Amino acid sequence: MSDSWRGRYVDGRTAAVRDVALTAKDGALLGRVLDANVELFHWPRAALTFEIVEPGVVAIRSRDSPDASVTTVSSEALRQLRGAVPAAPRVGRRGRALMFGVGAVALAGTFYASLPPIARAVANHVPPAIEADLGQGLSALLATQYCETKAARTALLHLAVRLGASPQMELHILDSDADNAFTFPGGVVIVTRGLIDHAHGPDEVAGVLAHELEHVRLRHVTIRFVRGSLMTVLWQASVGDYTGMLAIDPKTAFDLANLRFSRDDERAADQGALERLAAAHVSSKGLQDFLERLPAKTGAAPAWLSSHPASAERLGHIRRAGAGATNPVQAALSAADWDVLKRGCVRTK
Amino acid sequence: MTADTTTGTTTDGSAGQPPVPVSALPELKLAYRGDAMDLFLIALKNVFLTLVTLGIYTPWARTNRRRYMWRQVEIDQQRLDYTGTGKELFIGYLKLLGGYLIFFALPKLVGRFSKGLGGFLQIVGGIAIVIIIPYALYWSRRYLLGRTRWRGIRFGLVGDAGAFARTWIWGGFLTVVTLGLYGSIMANRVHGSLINNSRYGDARFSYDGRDRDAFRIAIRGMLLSVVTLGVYFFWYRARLLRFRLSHTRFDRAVGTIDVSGGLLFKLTLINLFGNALTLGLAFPWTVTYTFRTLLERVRFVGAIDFALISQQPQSGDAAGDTLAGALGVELGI
Repeated sequence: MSDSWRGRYVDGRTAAVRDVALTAKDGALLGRVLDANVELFHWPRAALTFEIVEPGVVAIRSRDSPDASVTTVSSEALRQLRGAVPAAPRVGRRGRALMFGVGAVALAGTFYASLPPIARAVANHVPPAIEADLGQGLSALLATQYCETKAARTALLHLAVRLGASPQMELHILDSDADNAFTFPGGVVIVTRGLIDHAHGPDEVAGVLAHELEHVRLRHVTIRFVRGSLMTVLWQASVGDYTGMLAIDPKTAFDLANLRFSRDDERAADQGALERLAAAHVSSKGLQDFLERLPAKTGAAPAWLSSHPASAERLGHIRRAGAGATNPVQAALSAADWDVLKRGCVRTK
Repeated sequence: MTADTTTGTTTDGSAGQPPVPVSALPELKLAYRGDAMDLFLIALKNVFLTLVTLGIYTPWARTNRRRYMWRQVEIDQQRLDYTGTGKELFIGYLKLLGGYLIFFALPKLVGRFSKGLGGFLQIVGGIAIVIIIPYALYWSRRYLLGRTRWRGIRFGLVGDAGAFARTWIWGGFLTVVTLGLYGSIMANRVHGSLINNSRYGDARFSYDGRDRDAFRIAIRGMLLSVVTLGVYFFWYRARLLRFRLSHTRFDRAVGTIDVSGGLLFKLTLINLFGNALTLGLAFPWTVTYTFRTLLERVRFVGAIDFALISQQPQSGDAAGDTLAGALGVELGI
């Protein structure tokens, strides 16, 4: 009989743990009751599996009885059964950390960089009906806060149509003091009562409206929606298991990251707005005045600006376009229509 | 670890013999032997492979992490085994996708032909989601316990998910009606239901924490938390933990946890700041520290006759686990 060594054996039928004497014979592993010649198991070499539980401790199993196992700390066991024992990884822990870390960062970076075109391509394939469905669903959430009179909506719609919008588009005035305007997918545009109240004339409202119509035309909201979904899916797939332990909400992190995309979108929307205003013979001075005036008035970034950062570069571009314009211009709305719009919100609260 | 609870010899306390002093009772000690760097490496590998495979690796990533963490839990010098596989979790995800299509995509599709019917199906889907939460919790726990092995024997969760769901839903309703007062009783019943249905091999765990005691602890905890501007909350949680463990039994052993409010406060601060300052990168270290600290304070005191505990068939379907993950209602283990 060859040398034997000790191990702890569980048979997978009861929870008892037995101390056993182990021997290797012709590659097979034999287990006997300690100090007695009673054989407990005889596992052929081909069926053996090994798992390093901790340094120096190996759990040995047989594929034929997967719930049974024997753990041993004997280096003799490892020596005699060598070849089947999993080898220690060649690359050290630090090396693996570096390898996977650099790989993960590189992949995440590549994905992040390629996200805008992917999101645009996906968004462009979203059927208009689904976009409209989504927009109307979101718009319905605010329905109790819409305050426009029929006349005001008509005046606003006339202005939008003059700026190149479809007469079928959905427009609302939201009962809110904030200077804000935003769009939902499918072409729903919402301006706040505060924006109209604080505007120095219809040209300012026209400037903001032209800007929002460009967001609609360029499908920015849908693209952001798709981009956000893709990032969230990837984030959850990557570290979803660990998010419960994270202090920062991934969505918040992504919203912050999304601002960079927003600035790109804003520049594009500004450019389109200038073209719409020029085509409608409305001065771009309104948009410029609105953007310049707001920070001074509130002393902090107002709502519209916080999501629409008006950098010096953006303002400079709008100013230059205004200075270079030779088109004859008319007021965006007649005095009567402007008056209707100014009084066009029946307060909901 | 002192007395031999491993040989299978029954230590019957015969009548007429003096009671065994508590200090002489055998103890099962728990410990977490994990190394944070190892967990960090597993997380990095998981993130890398998940990115490379555009998310398909997710079930295998979860399995890798669990296998490692289970392996580091030591009870009475024997490690836990996690026997779940990435493949079964992947199939679970596919089933979840099927369920998603039925509950969300089908109403949308039907809505294209009949708005009324589509809307009705959407409402039914919404209600189903609320109802399915306790089922998902139960199924997930059943799956996880069914894949947890110790000393060669699997854990499991028996009983009816429907009964658990009724406790949950009815308790939730009463909690709302009583403006939260019933919450502690509901939590105690839900916890009790899970423990009473948990088994190790063919032996069951039992929980006998009374509702009124749980209620008393909660009321005192809430009131003192308000008075102390929330500081007492940690002492309340510690007391609740001690209460629950001390009413958890297995065979002739009863649980105990030596945890104080101060310790929970410290752990919360370490987790909060450790993760916040590193944007979550330190989680392997905070998790490892938390597990080590808490598990080494848990013991089961009393004799357990392991030779009489025999194996039972594996239970649970991975779909329940993926569903609980998707709903964000995993209980862990």
